[in-house]
Amino acid sequence: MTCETVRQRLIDHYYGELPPQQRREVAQHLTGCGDCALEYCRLDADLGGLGQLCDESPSPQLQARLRDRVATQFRPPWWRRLWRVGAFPIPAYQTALLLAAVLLAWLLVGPRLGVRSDHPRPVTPVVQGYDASRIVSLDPNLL
Amino acid sequence: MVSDEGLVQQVRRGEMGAFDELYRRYNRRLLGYIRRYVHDRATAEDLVQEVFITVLRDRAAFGPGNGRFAGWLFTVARNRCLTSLRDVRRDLEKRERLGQVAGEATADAPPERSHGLRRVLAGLPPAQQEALMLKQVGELTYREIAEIQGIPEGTVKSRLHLAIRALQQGLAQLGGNA
Repeated sequence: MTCETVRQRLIDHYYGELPPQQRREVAQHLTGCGDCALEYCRLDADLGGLGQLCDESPSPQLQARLRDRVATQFRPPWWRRLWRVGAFPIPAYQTALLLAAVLLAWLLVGPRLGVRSDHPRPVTPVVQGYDASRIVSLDPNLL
Repeated sequence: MVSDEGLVQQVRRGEMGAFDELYRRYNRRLLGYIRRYVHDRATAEDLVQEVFITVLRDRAAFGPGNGRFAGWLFTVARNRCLTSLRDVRRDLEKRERLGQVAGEATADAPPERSHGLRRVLAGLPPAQQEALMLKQVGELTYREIAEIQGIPEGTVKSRLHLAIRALQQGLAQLGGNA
C-alpha cells in the first residue's frame, strides 16, 4: 500500500470505519512508515483537541433535576412496586429466623390465649354418699 | 456491561440506577454537542434535560430495529437544537421589527472564541461542522450520521474529510502565525 493511499484512508482508519482487510494494511504500513505515522499522530492530536474542546461537564444540579423528573415520569404503578417487594429474594437464614420468631411468640403468648368464656367452667357434681351398686340392689318392686 | 438499550428498558421500569448509568455515559457528549448550537450554557442544559426525557419517554419509537441508542439520542438533540435556534431567530426578528435590539447586540452573542481551534471550527460550513461534531463528540458511525443528515454515507465521508483537512490547515496557519 502506497503512502498516498494510506493518507487517503487515514481518517477512516482513525474512526475505525475501514473494512478489516484495509484496516490491517493501513496499520501495517503505519508501523513501517515514519512519515505516515507522524501524519497519523498529528491527526490524532488535532481531533483529540477538538474532543477536549467539546467536553463539558454539566452542573450537578442538572443531574438532580433530571433524576427527579425521570423518577416522577417513570414511577411504576403501586401493584408493580408491591410485586417487586414480594419478588425480592429472601435468604434461607432469614426465613429460619422468621419461623423461630413466630414459634417463640407462640410459646410465650399462646398458652395465655386459651379458651376464655364469661360462663363458669362446668363442674362435675359430687354427690356425697352416692353408691351406684346400692341402686342395683334396691327392691325390684320399686322399678 | 449492560447495553444502552437494556438501560433504557430498565429506566422505563423505574430503575433509577439505570438512569444514573445512562446519564454518566452521555451527559458530557450531549452537552458538548448541544453547546455547538446553543452558546448559552443554561439553555443548553435545559435542552439536555428535554432530550433525555423525550428519548426515554418515546417508548414505541425505540426498538432493536431503530438502530443504536446513541444515534437516536443525537437525532433528537439535533432536532431540538434546530427548533431552539429557529425560536431564537424568530424572537430576534420580532424584536428587530420592534426596534428593541439596539444596544443589546452582544447580549446573545456567543462567549469569546479566543481559542484557535474554536475559531477554525466556527469557520467551517455548517453541514461539515455538524458531521464533525456527530462523529467526534457523538461518536456515531458514518451510517448513523447519514441517517441524521438525510444524505448518503459517501457524502458524510467526504464532508468529514473536507472538514478535518480544513481544520488541520487552519490550525497549521494559526501555529505559523503564532
